[in-house]
Amino acid sequence: MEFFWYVVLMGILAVYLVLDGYDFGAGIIHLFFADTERDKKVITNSIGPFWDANEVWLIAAGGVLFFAFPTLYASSFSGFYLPLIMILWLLIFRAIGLEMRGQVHHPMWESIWDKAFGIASLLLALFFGIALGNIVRGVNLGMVQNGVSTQEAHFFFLPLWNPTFSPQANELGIIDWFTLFLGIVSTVALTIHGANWIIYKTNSSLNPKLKKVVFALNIVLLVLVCISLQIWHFIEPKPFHNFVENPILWFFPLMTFVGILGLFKVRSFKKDGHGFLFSTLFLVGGFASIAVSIFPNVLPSTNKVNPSLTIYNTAAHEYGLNAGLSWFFIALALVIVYFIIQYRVFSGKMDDIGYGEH
Amino acid sequence: MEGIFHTEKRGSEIVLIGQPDVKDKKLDNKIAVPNILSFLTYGNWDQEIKGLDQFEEDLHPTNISGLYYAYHIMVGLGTVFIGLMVISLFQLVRGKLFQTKWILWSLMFMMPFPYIANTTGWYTAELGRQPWLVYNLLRTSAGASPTVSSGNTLFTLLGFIGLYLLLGMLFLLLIGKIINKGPHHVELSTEKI
Repeated sequence: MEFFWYVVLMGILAVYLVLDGYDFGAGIIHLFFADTERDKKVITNSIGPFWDANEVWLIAAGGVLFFAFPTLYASSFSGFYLPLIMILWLLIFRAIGLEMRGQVHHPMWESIWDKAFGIASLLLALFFGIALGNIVRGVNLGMVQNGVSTQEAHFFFLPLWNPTFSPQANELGIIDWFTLFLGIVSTVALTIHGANWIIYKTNSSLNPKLKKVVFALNIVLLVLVCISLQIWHFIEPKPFHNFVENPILWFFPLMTFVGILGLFKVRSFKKDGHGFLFSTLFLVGGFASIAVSIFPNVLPSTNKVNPSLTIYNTAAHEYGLNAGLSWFFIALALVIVYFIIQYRVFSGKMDDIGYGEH
Repeated sequence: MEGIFHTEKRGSEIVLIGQPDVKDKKLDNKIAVPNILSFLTYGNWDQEIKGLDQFEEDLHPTNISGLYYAYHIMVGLGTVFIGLMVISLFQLVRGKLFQTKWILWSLMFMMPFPYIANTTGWYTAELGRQPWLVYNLLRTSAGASPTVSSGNTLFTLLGFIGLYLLLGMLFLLLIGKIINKGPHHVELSTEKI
């Protein structure tokens, strides 16, 4: 039963990554490449009817985490308190950036909210990569000092950084060179993803340029992924042991590479949606590969005293996990219906839907 | 919540106005209507209602006077809203609402009060729940994160205060803009009926 809820949680997170990922990416493209008023309009139109629905998946993930793995929820929401609150602030700024812009027609007003939207999107993409890095690297569970736990075994607290920025220091921080590296990987990946979404959903004058951007960034991404595989080995001594035991799981890394290699053909795709398809493959494959590589851990311990948090030692009581099943399927059915309606209503190119205009 | 410090055997009164004196366990300067509270709670004029003296000291809400005021502001404003709406509806049905100036003035000045009533209602729920986070299950003191220092929570609190201040100013700005624009295509009638 724990395993079922683990798959559900990871599934929700993967969907969140793909969906909110493209609107973060669109925000980054908006920040760096949209110069004319028309292009900015087109970009916000392409994500306008979707972005807040996409963020609901994050709330769903939080809900499942709270319900199925309460110990993990308590541990990580205490330990990652500062970065989580900052992510919340960024989400708020991104939202008001999108919604406020069209309220007053004044160049200063518009440029302030454009920047709020773009910079918040960029930082969110970076922060989510850093978050992933923290989970792969693990934390000092129980806040062990000199071989003695100073807190209960599942509690910890991380400052934003430590002075050495090293992932192997005794006093870890949220941001070190390893997590920052993964943050850059995720920023590049989501920028590509967002560009693909814009190409898919609009006829903007930016599209030919965006295809070149995707191609160039894809080279960067390939290099970054190869380097990260190397340093991943350095952080986790046996990153592939799950894959070796269950060869079928090689499907996920394979998916990642199909995604990244497919994107090199971005300039010759017949259909505008194909690029988005390949970047989705990359994101889902990459995320699943990372999850598989640390399974059954969900938050590894960096000390020898306290065990890592796994799906088994953080799960709720069996009764609760069973009781949640029926409710989950009702909610899932509602979500799927809603999702289909939403994407039907807003299918096709969306250059002129006039989102947020007053 | 109702400012009942002592249990009354013969039915409790409802307090309209009064200032709680928590130390001496009484209400100062109170204006109250007898037996109404018992009727509202149980549908029986003489039903006994447990006062605070029936509960252990460590089960008392931590901020009794804050809770009392929050609740009374919410309920008081709510009663005023209902009353005003009933009068307005009455005049609307008679077709005289748009000629009755005092009602229109009061309706206009009611603008901020639903916000206040909402907020104090929230305070009532949160203060009234103390000292429990989940009633009879989890104490607030047991629900706090042991690893998050008060300095960190102060930092985020300040951040949220700043953010809400900004959002509040934006709200006022945009509402002001809408009010400035005025309603569409309305011709003010000057004739008296």
